[in-house]
Amino acid sequence: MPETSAQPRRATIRSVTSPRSAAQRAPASREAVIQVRGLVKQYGTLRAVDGIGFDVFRGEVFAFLGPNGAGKTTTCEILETLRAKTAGDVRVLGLDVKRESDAVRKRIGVLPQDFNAFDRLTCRENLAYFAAMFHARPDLDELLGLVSLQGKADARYETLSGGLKQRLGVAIALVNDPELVFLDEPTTGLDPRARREAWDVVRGLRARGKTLFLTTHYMEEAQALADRVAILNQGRIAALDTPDALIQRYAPGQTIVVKGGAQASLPVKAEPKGQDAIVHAPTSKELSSALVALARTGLGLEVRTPTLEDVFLHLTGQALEQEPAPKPEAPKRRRRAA
Amino acid sequence: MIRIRADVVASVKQWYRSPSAMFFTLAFPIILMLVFGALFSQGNGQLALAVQDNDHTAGSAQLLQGLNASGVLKLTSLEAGDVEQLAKDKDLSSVLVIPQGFGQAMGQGQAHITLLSDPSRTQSRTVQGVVHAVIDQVNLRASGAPPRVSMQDQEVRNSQGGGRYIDFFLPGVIGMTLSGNALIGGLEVSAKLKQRGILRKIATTPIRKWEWVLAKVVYQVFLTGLSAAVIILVGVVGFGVHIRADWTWPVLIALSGAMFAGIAMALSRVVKEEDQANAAGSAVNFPMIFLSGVFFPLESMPSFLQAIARVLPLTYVNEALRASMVTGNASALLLNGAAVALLALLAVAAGSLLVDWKEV
Repeated sequence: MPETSAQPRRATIRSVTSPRSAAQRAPASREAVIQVRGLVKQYGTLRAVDGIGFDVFRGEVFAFLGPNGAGKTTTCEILETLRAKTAGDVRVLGLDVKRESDAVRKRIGVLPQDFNAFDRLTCRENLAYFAAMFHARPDLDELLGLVSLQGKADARYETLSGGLKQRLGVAIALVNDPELVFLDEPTTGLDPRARREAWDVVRGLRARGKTLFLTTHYMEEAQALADRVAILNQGRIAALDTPDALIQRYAPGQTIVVKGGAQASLPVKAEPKGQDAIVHAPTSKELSSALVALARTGLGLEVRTPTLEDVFLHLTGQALEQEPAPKPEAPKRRRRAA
Repeated sequence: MIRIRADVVASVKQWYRSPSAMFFTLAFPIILMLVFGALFSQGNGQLALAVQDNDHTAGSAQLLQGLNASGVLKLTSLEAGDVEQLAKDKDLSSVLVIPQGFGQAMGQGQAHITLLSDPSRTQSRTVQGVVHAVIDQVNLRASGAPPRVSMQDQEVRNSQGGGRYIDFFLPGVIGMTLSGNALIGGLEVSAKLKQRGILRKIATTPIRKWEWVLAKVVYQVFLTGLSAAVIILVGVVGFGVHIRADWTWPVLIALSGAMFAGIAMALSRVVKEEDQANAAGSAVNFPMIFLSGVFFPLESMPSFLQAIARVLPLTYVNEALRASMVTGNASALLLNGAAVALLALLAVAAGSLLVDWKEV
């Protein structure tokens, strides 16, 4: 990927394809701000969340990565006190999400899935509205500046683009200066540029010492932003670690992409991914022998550093959807409730 | 208080930035008042009677003068020809035929006239009665006998306001406007916020359900007040409606707005989508408007409909408003006003309990 900007942030984005030191990503401390044990959410016969447990530590960016319907948003909404759990113990900032939900809500910030604010109010008015809900008096200009919306302070919400709407959503999630911020699929439906701008906002929050709980079905996003990633599949956590550690464990070495190799019979073990086939080469010896064998097929080859995508592929045998079709009005919600 | 105030301020801002919301609050009631006011204040309650005078003598002129003097009939002359066909063509409900030679026959005491009436028109019966009375008078005068019974007409007004339809109708318009706006408007706002996920965001803040409901109630009371002010202005300025100076009707209007807003919040539990909201609100509102005495007095309805009307909240609103604004009937005001206050309290409480924004 060519360097397109001189901004230091871009370097981090670029590092999607290069390993980085674990120290850079270590959580600031080991104080758990979210503790989940044996969480179950049952809808009729469907177990949307099937006995998961994890801790989120203060100061880290923790990501739930998984396909649609994996249980990411359900878990997120239970943590946000929006949904009732079926079973399990869930503590947020040391408080029980069911019995002490009022106290939890005062101290968390939430950007819900499919977020919207009041159309006919301006950015500033929307911020002021939600600040009043918390009895908070934040510096609205500072909040708008934090998400680079200074110039849009007096623009009505309905006139904003999708990316700007999400950024206002992040600012709204910060009106009560929360210790813990939930971002539920913050970049779904955004174009690549708006997505990267949203990432910058998330990094800015981490730099300010916020703990972030993020859900996403974009592998790239989890890899770019998260200190630790929980890979969720069918209501269960398939793996949980730093992105580098996950790659080291489940997709070490190098990956060969065989262009158009999905249908071809290949001389080495491969997993199909779209039109292409993916070959894992954990050691350099395996890499060279695989390349030699594959070169004879005459198909195009590309060697790259493995990503969380490869981890997901290895763990579940299926590819994470990269660009899902634009979602109709809240389809997941209804399907899940049915 | 901070939360309720912020929500009311936000709602009002959104309201005045929305042309359609402004229309339903301000322009719609004006149109309603103008249309119904024009419809019912014209004609002074006169009944139409077409007269085919085939005689044209002093006798027939005397009869016509008598009919005119009654003040109730509005006479129009009908040209000669087949009277039944003419009545059908011109869609006349009452036609009086004075035959040729009427004046002459009258001198001999053998005069005869024919009144054609369409029984499907209720007013034709009244016309019959009036024509009979005029004929009786003519006969009495011709006989020269002194009347055995004399009668004096004396008007006794049971109400302080005018007895005109527009006086009756104005409190009804206020009632139906506030029920429509608060019920349908309240449902629509809730459904929209729910559908667009704004309610979910609000549910992640510390606002409590009763604060939310109270904010919506205050907002609807504000809108209701505006609508009522507009209706009263049009009624007083445009149609000379007399409204009693009384402190109770502003209070009743506010209570009624609160009541329908509370009902809307309770119903919002089952109405989840915006297009459903309009349908559900109308389904409740329209039958209620017709059965609760907005357009016709309750006493003129069949008894089983009156029984239904007794369970409709709008009935009590209409009766209380009429007592307060027009008739000044203290006992009706106390009874219906108390019912409105109680229903408002119950509706807001039910709204606070039933409104839901969490998902299970």
